Amino acid sequence: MTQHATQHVTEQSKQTLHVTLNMVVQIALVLAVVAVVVWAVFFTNYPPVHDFFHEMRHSLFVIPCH
Amino acid sequence: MSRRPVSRRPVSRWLAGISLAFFLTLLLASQPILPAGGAAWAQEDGLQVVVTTDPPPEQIGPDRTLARTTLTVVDASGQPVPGAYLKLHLDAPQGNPVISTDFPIVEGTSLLEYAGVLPQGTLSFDYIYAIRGQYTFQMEAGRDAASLRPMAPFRMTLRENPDEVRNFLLLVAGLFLFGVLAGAIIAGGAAAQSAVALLLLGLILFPGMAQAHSNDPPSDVAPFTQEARNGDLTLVYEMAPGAGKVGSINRLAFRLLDAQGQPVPETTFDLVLWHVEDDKPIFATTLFAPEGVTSLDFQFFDGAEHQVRLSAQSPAGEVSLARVVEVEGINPPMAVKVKTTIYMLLLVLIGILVGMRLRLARARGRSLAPVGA
Repeated sequence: MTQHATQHVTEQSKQTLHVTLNMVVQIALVLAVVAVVVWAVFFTNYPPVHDFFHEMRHSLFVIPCH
Repeated sequence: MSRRPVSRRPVSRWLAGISLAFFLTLLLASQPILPAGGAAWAQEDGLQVVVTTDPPPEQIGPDRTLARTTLTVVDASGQPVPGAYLKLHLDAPQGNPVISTDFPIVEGTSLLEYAGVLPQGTLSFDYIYAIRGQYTFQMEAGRDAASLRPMAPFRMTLRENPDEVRNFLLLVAGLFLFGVLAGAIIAGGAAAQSAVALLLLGLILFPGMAQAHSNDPPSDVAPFTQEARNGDLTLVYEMAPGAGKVGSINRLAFRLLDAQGQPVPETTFDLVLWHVEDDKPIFATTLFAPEGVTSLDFQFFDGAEHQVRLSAQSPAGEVSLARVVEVEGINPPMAVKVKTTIYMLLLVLIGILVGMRLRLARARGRSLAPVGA
């Protein structure tokens, strides 16, 4: 009985750890995608993108430009 | 029904409150809090310099409003001093460590410098001020060049355009709501979003990280001289360096010469600096040169082509010329870009945490519902 309870707790801990790590990975992925999008829209120097979003950049309070 | 322990009370309200406080702090820290300037003066030897703007500073939008700034040298009775000599140096506002302005390279740099005679005791110029913050006018004035005395600096504070602040708040709200949605999806246990995220990463990564092929002119371009003639008169325009550069001063020198190559006295120069891409003036003024020669130090704050439109009027006649000059744009410092990106990511992260908390609380509420309810 004790061995069974211990095994159950261990499996639960593993599941919790797995879920937590999975969530952390997903959050990290979301933030990475947001970072890339934000950089592309607001900070990239690539001329077609820069020219397309130039007015938007200057219409925002916190976006530095040239 | 037992009370829920303190340690298990929802933290979503705290998280929302923290995020709101964080961004209000950013907003307040970036806005100048000093009172806007208006008419101001400093007194030396009975002379004062009165500085006014039209519109008043509280109505001037950075990088938007073409404002007329007037500096008048007046005597003790408040009357303009004809023929007064004025030396002016205009500095841009200092940078803010929390949030950058639109032109971080311009922060804390010299914008304009001029010294000359004011026939009616007044110097006026139309100018688009580049960024928000506190501008400093350092002046010396006297009844002539030999009697110049330093004046107390005049400071003028410009606030950010309300439209930009509004747009920023919309961006904040959008990022936060996106975070809440993402957090709710993550907490919901769906696994497919990982694959979607990777796909999006691949689609966006390439154009986002590609660097620009720069067409900017090289720095420190050699000075140039341009001339225009009308009869016996020759208008000479010199600029050094030969191209503009954001954050750096260019010296613009003008002289009107007669047939013998001598400067024509009592010449008035009308100068307009025209932003070619936006098709609007960014600076305009009239300078009086009693000896036919004058100069102006000016910073082109926007990395775009500008047209210099110059005309000279004298008792002997008029001459005009126009010249397009390149201005090298300087990319914002990487630290500023990274810092701003981190602010946005923090906002999304707080939204994610709030979304996850809301989703988990909802799921817990369902699991505690009575059987058969």
